[in-house]
Amino acid sequence: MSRIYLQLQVIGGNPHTINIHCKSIAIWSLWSIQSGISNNPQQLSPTHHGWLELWDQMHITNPALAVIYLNVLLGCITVNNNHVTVGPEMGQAMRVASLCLLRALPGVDQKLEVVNDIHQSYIGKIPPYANFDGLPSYHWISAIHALLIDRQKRHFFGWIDYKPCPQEHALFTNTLVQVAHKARDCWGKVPRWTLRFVLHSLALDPLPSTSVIIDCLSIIAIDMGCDISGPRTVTINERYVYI
Amino acid sequence: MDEVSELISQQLKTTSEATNIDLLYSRHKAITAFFPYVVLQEQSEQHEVLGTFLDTARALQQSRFTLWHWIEPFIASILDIARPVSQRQAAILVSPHLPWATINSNHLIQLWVTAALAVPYTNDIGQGIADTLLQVASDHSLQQYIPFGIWSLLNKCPVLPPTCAGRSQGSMQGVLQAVQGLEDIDIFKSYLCLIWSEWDYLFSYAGGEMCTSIRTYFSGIGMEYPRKDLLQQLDHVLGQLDLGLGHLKQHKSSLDEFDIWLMNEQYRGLKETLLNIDKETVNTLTRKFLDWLYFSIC
Repeated sequence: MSRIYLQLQVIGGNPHTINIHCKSIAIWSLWSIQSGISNNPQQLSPTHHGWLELWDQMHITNPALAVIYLNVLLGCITVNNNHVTVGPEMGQAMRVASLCLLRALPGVDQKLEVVNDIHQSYIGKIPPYANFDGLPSYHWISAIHALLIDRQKRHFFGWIDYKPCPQEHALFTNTLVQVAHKARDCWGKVPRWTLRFVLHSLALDPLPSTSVIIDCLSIIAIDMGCDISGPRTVTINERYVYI
Repeated sequence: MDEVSELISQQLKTTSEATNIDLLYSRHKAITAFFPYVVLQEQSEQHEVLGTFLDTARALQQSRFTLWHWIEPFIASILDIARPVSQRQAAILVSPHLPWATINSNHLIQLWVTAALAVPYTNDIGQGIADTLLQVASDHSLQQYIPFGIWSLLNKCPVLPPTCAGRSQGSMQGVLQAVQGLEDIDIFKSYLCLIWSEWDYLFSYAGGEMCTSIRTYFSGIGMEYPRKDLLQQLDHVLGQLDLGLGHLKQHKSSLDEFDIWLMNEQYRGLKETLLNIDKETVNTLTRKFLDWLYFSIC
């Protein structure tokens, strides 16, 4: 594991080598996050901290990973009369692919042709009014759906029953900070479903972890036009050490 | 966390001073999402954040915006009797800024009533209760959930801010009738003193409803003191209106010439009615005295 990580650290520094190795990076990240969620729900290992940082750096320069995650996700599901179901024993794979895709999407430059590929692949399989009820990663895929389909053309989704484990909550909130940044850059506003998530998370009793609260406040600050980039943002390591 | 929170607080201050309606509207969802954190700070006795938040909520209200309706479940949760007093107080203070017209939740109103009667009374709490009470009472179907005890808090003479949804909605005919229905002269007088203000005209003035009510409830011997209080309030309001639009606009920018003209008409009409009642009472007293004197001599 650590050898693979060190190898990826070398690859992570160079966008060209990422392109060559993106398939193996995708497989590794899918596996890595799966083992992180399923085997160690309370705490991420130091390797994971580094991995998250590395992963974030890679996604900025590599939209091809998003396509791979999307393909994995679409391969896990079947659609019948707008109702989306997950294949047998594919629940965990779908969950992980959703997380990876959601984390990768904000890093994709909207001007690139690959964005169109992502939209076409997604719309080609999943209809706008898709029903995700009962899916193991209902909120994750709903969030992806919200990012790829216009608000007027899709079902509403809520957060009332979203009560994830602390680790997943932290990962998801951190991912939404990136979504918020991206949305503000593109549309000048943070999506309202993101703000509903913030409201839901901050209102939880007992309170979520400090890292979740910081990320929720960051999303609010982004929507209000605050500049929270640069030194004001705590690092991934600082965030996850509280989990 | 403190740094991000400080940034948001600064933005809230900027927003509360903003007059750009689009800016206020575009931020009302984020402002609402911040409220659970404000409650958390209030519990840690960092009261400044709540003050800033309420200033921003008032700025929203000035442009006729409320907080985002998705706040309702959180408000309901912190109004619960099992929650710390600081949380319930925060909920009461923010309650005038909820979209009561669309909430229509009996459960939330019942929780609010219980909390409002239980939290220690202060001027700010009284203001929050009065403002919310008048908004809720303007919906006829919700009046049944407002007990006498809540109405009687008006006797503590809360003062409403220049911009407040409760005062204008509270002057509607339905609320006037609901207060009359309580058959308590002190509450009725307190209610009138609360809604008679230089900041809002009266919805229920048209058609003579309010003048008729005053005649019905405040005529006769024994009503001198309530009448005196009402006249005092009207003199105060008319005195403020005499200062002119420029003065009033400093505190409520939405006022215009027509508002001032209409308020002058209404409050002068009410004063005239009260003075007429006074005259009629004196005449009745004089007549009764003369009758008594006549019969005594005869």
